[in-house]
Amino acid sequence: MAAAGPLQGVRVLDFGWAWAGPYGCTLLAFLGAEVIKIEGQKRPDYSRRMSMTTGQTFDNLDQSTVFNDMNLNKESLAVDLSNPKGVTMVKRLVGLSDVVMGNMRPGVMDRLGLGYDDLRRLKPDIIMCWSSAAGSTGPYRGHVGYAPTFALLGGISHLTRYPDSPPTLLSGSIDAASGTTFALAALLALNHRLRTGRGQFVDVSSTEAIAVFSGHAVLEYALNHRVQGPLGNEDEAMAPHNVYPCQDDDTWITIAVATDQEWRALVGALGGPGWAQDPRFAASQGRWLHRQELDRHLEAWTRQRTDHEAMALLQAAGVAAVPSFNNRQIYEDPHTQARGVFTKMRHPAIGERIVMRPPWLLSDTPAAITAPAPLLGQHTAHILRDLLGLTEPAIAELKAEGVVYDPTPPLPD
Amino acid sequence: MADALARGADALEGIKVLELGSLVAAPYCAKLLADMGAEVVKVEPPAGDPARARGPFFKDLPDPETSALYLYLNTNKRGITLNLEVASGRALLQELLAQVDVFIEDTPPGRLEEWGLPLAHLRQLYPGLIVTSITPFGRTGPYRRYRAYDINLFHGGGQGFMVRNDALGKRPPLTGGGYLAEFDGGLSAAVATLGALYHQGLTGLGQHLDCSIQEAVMALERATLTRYPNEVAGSATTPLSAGSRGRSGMSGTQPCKDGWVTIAALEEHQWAGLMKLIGAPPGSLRPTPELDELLRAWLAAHTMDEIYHGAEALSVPAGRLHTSKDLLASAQLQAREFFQSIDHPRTGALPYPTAGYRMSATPWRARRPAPLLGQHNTEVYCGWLQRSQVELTRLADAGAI
Repeated sequence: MAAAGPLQGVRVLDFGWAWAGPYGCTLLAFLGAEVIKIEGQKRPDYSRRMSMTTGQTFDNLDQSTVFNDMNLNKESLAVDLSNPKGVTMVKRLVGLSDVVMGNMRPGVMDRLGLGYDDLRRLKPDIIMCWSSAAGSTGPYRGHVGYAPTFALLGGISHLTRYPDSPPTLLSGSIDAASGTTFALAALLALNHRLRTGRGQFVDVSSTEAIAVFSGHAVLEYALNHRVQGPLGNEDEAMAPHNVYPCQDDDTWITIAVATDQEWRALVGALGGPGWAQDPRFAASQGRWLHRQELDRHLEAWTRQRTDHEAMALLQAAGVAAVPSFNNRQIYEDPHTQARGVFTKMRHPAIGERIVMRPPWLLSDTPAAITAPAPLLGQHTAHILRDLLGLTEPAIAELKAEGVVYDPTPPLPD
Repeated sequence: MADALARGADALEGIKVLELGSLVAAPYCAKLLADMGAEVVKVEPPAGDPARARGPFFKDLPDPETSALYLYLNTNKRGITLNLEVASGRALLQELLAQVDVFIEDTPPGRLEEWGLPLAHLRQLYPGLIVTSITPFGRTGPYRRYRAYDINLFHGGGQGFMVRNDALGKRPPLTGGGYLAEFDGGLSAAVATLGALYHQGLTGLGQHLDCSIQEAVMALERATLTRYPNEVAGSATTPLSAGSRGRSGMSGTQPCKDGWVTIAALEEHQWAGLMKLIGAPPGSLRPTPELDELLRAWLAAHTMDEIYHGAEALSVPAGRLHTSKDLLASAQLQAREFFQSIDHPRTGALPYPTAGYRMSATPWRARRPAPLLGQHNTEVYCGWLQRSQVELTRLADAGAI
């Protein structure tokens, strides 16, 4: 086993569902935490069945590639929480855990006898970190939502559109950003507990996790009573600043120039064309005012080149220029390959998969993918025996009563 | 109040952070720590963080002290000026690093080495120091020295292509609004930093974190971006962009009487709720062109608020458009005190967004507005580094600060 991540020794119980909850726990698992996913067979995580983001559906609860991507490095305890004995098992696990996380609708855990007040009686320094669409307080506390609703309610959709197009919903990234915020909140509480010995309850709102990205727009409204409008690919001050078509069909390059120095570098990289000597383009304000004309000149240049040629020429001169990569390009790109962003792993029910490693390189306690997402109930026996100390007959009895489950036998090939 | 100020009332109380960051990603990472009580000192060049030159400005008058972007990203920090172009400035940086737990920096790879402060040397000098490097493409690989602004990183991370959904047709891939790639880069780096800080709290040992903004943007689309190598590499050549969104005609945003809404009736009971809401005939179990038409007509006859509240009352996930003005007016955000007023000497009091989380024992607190340029030079150089006022003047005269 390689060196483990910085959260080695931290145990997390994950009651997550869909993306925002599970992905937050996965980030902690990337950092070395032991994450146990608590799932029932009656209502398993719906990422095991379908994905709104990718449009895929899966026939078998263990064959969801999307579930795999969002639940790497975890263990799975399959337990029926509608059975009091199931709740008792979970309560015993809480006593052995550091953090309880999830994103079911506020109130669900309280009804199960697993609310924060219940949990801290079991373990006084427990951290409970709960995420929901609108948060656990306020008039909309019971509301339900997914990434598209967070994007629209959180204000980012309004800023992500052409002035003449509908607001866009971005994509699953909105859920994952909410999940990243969820991980951040848990880590803040863990750091606090480390120095004070105290746990706490943390209430995450997915809508607010997105609304913080509009902070400057909110302040602009407060300052000037003006609603910041959608800019498409333009910028309020920079020009050129756009996405330009390249030689091959549906290939594009982004170019952004902020300073006079960068402008001179751009002109030099283009070979000092006559149009660029126009005094209207000499200063940033003039470039911005005449940005559409500027864009036409640049487009004539980018259309003669591939996106990679344009990037290499412009970057060599010190100009910020990067293609708008599609899935294939980003996978085949020499930079992502050199940094080992994509790695292979084997999933027992899916087979060999290419997955994306954690987005940070830690020098001394590496974050890493150490295991695929668990089959439903894959670690039930291990957890009951090795963590809770149950005997084999006791485990067999719980299974026979339908309180806990082993994984479904794999499908024959 | 006494309770709130008691020891341990801040999640990161006692943690000292030095930020050498510009624009959005690194300053946002440091702000996330400052908001939770870390003592963050922001180092700016004498000309200031370039975010000060970005608008929007108070009354639209360019002023390095009233940039909304700068004010938002730098609340709760102290600020000093330091000229790292001169040797005496670089010596001060090294002295400051001796004082802190975390160094958040966004210098281009190679710059610290040019300054005579290579990472290996810093780590040897200060074994407990966490160095969080936040750069566009990370510190290794062929693009490590490439320049990139937010637009370049959003598209370079593969998300621009995904935002272009059916509604945009063949228009160019679209950029996430308002520095989204940089925010995601800063947020991701803060997660890694807090992981390393936990380890440092247990062991006393620091480390170096290489955080690529491109990878932070990519990570959020890990399930979509990996479809290419897993599903079509070697066979089909058509790259997959983002997938469909939900069921049939409800994908994307839909126009309604007074704006835009989205409905995500993904599960069967949610679909049933939606059918009830729009008065669909019994037995409408799955989408049909007729039901899509009925839905569109129903949306066109109702307002954003009617649709949002009507849907949520039936447990149907729904959203309505929120602009910055709407966010400020949201009953939910107001009830949760999502905005807190912070006074600033040049703009007066403004409502600032707080955070996506409420911590019961260590609540978000406004401690101070964003610093004026060099506002805390005396406090930091004379306090942390024990320089006298005379020495401070000499440093200023020598162009070091």
